[in-house]
Amino acid sequence: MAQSAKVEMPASNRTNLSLTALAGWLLVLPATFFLAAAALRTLQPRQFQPARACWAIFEWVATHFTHLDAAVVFLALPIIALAAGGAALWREWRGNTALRRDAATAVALVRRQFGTLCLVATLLAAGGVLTFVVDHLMVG
Amino acid sequence: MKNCMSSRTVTRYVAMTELVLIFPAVLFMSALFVQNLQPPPFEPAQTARRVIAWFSVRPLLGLDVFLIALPFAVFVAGLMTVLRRWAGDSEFRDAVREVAGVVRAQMATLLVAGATLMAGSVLAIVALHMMTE
Repeated sequence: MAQSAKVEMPASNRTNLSLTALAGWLLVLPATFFLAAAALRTLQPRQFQPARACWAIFEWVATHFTHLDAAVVFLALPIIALAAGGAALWREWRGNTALRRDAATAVALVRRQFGTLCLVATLLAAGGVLTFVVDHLMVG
Repeated sequence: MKNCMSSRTVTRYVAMTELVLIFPAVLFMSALFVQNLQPPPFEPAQTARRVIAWFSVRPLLGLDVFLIALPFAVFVAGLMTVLRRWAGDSEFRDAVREVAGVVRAQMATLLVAGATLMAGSVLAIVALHMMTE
């Protein structure tokens, strides 16, 4: 069923959508990178990596970014990505029957396997917590 | 069919139990992230700091039980249950393959959705930050 999407969707549409995806990720990349560095810098003492690199990035942004730079990176670019992505998704949803059918299939599968999905989510969360705790214990 | 249904029911109970067991650790990790979003007097950062302080003054319960023993138990039990389901439930394997097919067919749309969601999250964080400045 999912394979039918490749047949039903014109190649030009697929190229446009791929370009929109690429542009969207490139537009949000700087803001995501700086916010991730700001969040990760406090998870470890400053002398350890990767917290040290995150602190260096955070301080570089704090000293080099003007208000205009910050407005462009943290507001203008994400707004453009949000608007372009929202419009592309809306157009796709209305015009692509294969997408709607695949979405319905995925929702039905998720509903049927909900217990297992919750289990996988808790498994990943437990793995993440243990990784963090082991790292924390290693650096004292 | 009956076997499959009972296996699914068992999986649901195991999943619910695991969600309850991992909740304190997830709460602590979320609090670590949320406390940096805003300065002290503002909520929810203030509540996040209280949660971290609660864990900090109870090393045995907070660290050893909630952050090591329970996540380890959840990890081991979850891994065993998922592996057993993968080996014994052909419907589960078919469902995974079908979802993988859907993801492959709609990869570009999913990437657009991911970028849009990320942009929304960045704007939400910036808005929260600007509101408390």
